[in-house]
Amino acid sequence: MKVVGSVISGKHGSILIRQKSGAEVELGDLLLVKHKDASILLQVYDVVYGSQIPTKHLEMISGMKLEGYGADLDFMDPALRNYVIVQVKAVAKIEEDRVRMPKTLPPFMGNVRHVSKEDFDFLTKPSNPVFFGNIRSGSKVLDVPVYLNGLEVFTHHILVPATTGRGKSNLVKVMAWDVIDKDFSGMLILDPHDEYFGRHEKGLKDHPMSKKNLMYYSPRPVRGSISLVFNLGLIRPRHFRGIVNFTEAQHEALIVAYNTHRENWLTEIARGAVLENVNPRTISVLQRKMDALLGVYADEDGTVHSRTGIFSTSMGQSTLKDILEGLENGKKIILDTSLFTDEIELLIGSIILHELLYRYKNYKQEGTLDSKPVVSIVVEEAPRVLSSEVLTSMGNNIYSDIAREGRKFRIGLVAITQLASLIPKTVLANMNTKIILGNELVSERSAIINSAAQDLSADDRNIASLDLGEAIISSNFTKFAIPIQTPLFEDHIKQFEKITSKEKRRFV
Amino acid sequence: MNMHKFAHMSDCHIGAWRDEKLRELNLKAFEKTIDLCVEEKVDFILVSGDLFDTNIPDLRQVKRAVEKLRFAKGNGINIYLVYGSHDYNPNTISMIDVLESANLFEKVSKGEFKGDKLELQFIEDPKTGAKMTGLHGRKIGLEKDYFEALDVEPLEQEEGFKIFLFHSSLTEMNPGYIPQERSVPVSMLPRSFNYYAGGNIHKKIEGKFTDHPFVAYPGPLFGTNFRDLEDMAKGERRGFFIVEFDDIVRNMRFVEVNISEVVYHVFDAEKKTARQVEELLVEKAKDIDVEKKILLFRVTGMMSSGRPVDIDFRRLKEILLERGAVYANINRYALKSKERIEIRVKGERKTEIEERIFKEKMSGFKIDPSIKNKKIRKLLENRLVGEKGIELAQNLLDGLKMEKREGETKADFQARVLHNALEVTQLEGEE
Amino acid sequence: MLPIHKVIENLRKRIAEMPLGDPNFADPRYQPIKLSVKNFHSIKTPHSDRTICYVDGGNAQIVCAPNFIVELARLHFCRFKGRERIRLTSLPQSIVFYTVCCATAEQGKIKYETEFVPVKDEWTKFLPDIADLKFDSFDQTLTVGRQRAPIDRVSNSARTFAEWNLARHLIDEELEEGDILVRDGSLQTVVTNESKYANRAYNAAIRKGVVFTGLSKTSSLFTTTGYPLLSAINELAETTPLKDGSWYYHPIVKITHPDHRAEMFAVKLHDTSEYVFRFEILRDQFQDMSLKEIESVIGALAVNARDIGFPGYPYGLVEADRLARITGHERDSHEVQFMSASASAGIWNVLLRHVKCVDAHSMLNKLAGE
Repeated sequence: MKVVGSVISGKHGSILIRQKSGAEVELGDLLLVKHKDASILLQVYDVVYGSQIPTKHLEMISGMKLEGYGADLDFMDPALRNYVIVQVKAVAKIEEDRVRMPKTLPPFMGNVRHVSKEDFDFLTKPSNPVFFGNIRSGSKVLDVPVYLNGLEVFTHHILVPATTGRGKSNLVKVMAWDVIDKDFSGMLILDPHDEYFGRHEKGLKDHPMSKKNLMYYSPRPVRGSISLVFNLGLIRPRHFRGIVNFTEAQHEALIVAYNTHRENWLTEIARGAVLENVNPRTISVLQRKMDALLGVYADEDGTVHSRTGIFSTSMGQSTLKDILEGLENGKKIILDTSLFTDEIELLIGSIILHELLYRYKNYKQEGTLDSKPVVSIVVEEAPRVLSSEVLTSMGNNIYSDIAREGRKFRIGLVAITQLASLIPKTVLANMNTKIILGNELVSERSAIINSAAQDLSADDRNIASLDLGEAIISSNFTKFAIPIQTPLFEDHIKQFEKITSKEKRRFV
Repeated sequence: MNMHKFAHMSDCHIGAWRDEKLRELNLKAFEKTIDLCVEEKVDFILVSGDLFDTNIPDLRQVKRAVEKLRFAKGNGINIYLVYGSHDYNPNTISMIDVLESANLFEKVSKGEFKGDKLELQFIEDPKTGAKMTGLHGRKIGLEKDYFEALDVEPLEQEEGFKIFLFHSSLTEMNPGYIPQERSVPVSMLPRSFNYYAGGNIHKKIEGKFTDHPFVAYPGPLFGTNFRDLEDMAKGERRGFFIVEFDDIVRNMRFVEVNISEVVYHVFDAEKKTARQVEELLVEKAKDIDVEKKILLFRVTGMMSSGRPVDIDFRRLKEILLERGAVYANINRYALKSKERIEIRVKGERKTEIEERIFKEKMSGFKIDPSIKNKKIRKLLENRLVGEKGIELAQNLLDGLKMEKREGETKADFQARVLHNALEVTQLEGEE
Repeated sequence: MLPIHKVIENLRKRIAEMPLGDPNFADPRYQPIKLSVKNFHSIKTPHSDRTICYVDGGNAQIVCAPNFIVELARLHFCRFKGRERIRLTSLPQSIVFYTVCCATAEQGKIKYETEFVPVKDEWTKFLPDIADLKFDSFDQTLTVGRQRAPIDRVSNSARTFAEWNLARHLIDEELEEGDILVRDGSLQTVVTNESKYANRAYNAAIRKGVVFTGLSKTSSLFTTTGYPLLSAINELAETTPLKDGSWYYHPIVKITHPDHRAEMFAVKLHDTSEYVFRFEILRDQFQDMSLKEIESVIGALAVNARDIGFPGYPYGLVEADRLARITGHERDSHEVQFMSASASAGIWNVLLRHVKCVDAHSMLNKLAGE
């Protein structure tokens, strides 16, 4: 056991360890100290200098050295007199048969060491496991994979907050890769940067089971992927709720149009149809709005066209059904929304999620919900639908509905954001798993820390110093906030080889 | 440049329908279509699969079909087709093969596997120079594998006016009743073809995509099941496409083939007694104009008393036929009585029901571990496990549905059925 | 002119402009040698490191009354070879003990008697014989002026005797021939019976071949003009080429006093040091040492005086002092223990009455907020 320090003082939540000279202890390091029959797991949240020599004296000594006085002078007993004090908090007490929150202090002058792989034997693989990365101690990565119970974490929502370039997409890609061949969960990824499939580089398409379990919809499909086209008949007035602003009159007009024309309501609006008790001016405004929003318009003959090709009167009839059935069968579905406006992207998501929630509510009523896979929706830039501002000005939308009550129906969000502070506390509190990546902004860290499942009040500096790929999992379903390193996706997938059939094939 | 013309039809399903009258109407639709093609003076005809309803259809139907095909050929019209999922069996010869060998038409899906890649060859129409290739259909969308293996580059680089025939449901054009896993995304079609002649979907749908400008499903000429007929009643048009082209498609129009009008009514039996329902149906039957029409009634709902067998549906049918209806069908599948809740199987088409049951039953199929012989285990695995097992079961069932032919003895019929079954299972001659 | 400026002017005339003079000793057994620039010698770095053992002690009053005193004392030693500390020792590095001195009446005279209570029984052997720490309250080696010696002079002496005793044990059990022992302070003994312990230590040193030395942090020696001797030597050094280097000054005085068996030096142990210390080597050993050996001893000390925290002062003495010191915190803790224990024993009230005879000053300090 290589000792790196010993406990010298402090209090619960802020224990001080004197670091042994020559030992390397980093921010975020996990350390272990024995306590009777148990071990206490400690995490470093700060490191400060300590010295037997008063600061003013040190300043003088430093000045002497810098200015060249006494070239042969140096500290004697340097290791004894100048050292590092490591500030740690106890995060777990590991006993033979269980892990608990530590409620006592570690032994005074107890010897402390770095953790090793064997110390995490208590981390068993849960049922419905989802891989997020390996345990990280400081910047060192242990060969201890971290799995969370997918059924629990997906249903109870996941928040992935981080500033740009810290590895959010990589993390979600690694996670999605891990669940591709697991049918306990369906996943819908709204991909505004077209980075998950792997159009020109490695991506989810390279998974050995991608052919069977991955569906990729794009307005510019690559070979094997599906054109993203929705039949206009699939859209309902409720799908616009909270996404597109309509006046009360306009909203009422939409309802009347739907009640009158059912699946053809949008084409009739595009044609400027006359509706009972609806002001023609309102219809006219709606015509323009639908053209601007959906790219749908009618020509002189009354034939309805779509400028964007995303909405059609003839095609895409089964798109919604295919996606919903895919999710219900545990498939992973990527929608490439990189060419869409935010509104279109969110509208498409809204269409799918409304119907999904409706279905799952029915299953719950029927008593068959438990046999259905949990469905997870990956939404980037989550404040577009979850921020206080949006919810106040536009009202609730399907995303916020799911954030609030999706758990009851086995539907959850994976919300990715740079600005967690914009999301109301009530919503943040519902996101029971937070995978926290690096964040330089104090206000953001504060919002994240205040809503975390564990006490991360001492981890502010830790979070600020998280490097690319480093994260902390704070979840209601973990015993403590687990520091992890998510492997680089391209490296991670090398171990999974696509199986090619060597059987000679015949064209019959 | 010279303008040329071709006709594109699919899903003729000659020989479909148990009812003789409907079978006749279906054949008539085909005959009328050929006549129209000859009238239009098309240069060639494309059939995107399921010319026949089975691989070995009733010979009486085949005879009339052949006569019409010869008529077209006699007028200088070549016919090109691909197998569909119905008129083809990978394990045995089908009527299509027989008629091709008689030069009535030519199959365009010719190719072979070179390693992992499927290389297709073009066939050139001598009259117009149009080049054709394609992929045939297979049961339950198994042709999807061929699309995935397709070596598209040589196809895309081929010069000239190109047509791709296929008998598969494209995901983006799926009308909704075909399971997604059996459909093929448009992106799987090779690019840079001038026209994509689709079949298998029983609806008229035209699609335009960035890399695939003309993708068309003409739908059946008549229909093969009651859903098709219901769709017709709701306004679905039946017919085929006429396409004019020189070096690109210049014009495309749909030519309707109206053989018979279909009338469709839904009756709500909710909270009514059996007697009340019957009265309602009879009243309607006596009231509506049924002359030369196909009548489809659907009765749904939970009756307050009585059972479906208490309603004299036969009498109802008789009334309709007496009044001049060509055909009458009363669908009471969704009619429930409190006295008996029927066990439902999801799916409306018979084939869907069959597929679902087979899938359900065969999903758990495992080879008996007591079978130790590796060769036998491999054989059973290849034939019975997974999708292959389901296809085999369906083919077997199709074979067993065959009817005794006129003049055929019982012994001969039995032998024929057995022989077909053995061929389907490929067990004949196996050690 | 402000009063403070008048004070400065006063000092300037009387102190700042004083001539250096020569070493001045009252006792005729000290024969001073005139100050001369020729007596400055450069300190050379020795070829190899010698082991040096540093000894120091500290003590603090736990409770004090005119007739009794309880002190906590600690002795500490550490060994260095050049710059490196030698970790393993056979003797305990710290020895802690209580000193309890009480006044007793004996034939009309007040005597002070001492008892020791070591923290560990096995440390008793390092402590002096209590018979040697029984003093008349008017013992001249303890009194200040004509007044009775305060009882804490006895307890302080007890610690000093213990230091000499420990030095002897160190020489016998810890050190080897050629090693150097450095005590904090001079080799001069002052108090009655002190020389007994010093001589035991010296004899052990001579027997074993361990060089016995002492380094004083402070000095109140004067020159003939009233100049502090070390200050005068330091100022004289400024006129020599060695002024920017490290040096030793010798000879200063010829000592024949039996209670002061030392050869005296003045040393400036590092170029950058502003301090000159009084350094002594046991005279008996000095006489048999060659110049090379003497310079080797001083050089070894100089090597250990290169700590950047206090250049020119041997680091070993810094450590020995630090670790022997009884901190205020520690003292307070023991005071509380004493009060608690004496209260439990039912004698605190009695003792307190005695304490109150001398603690009014601390009350005033408390009232003043100090």
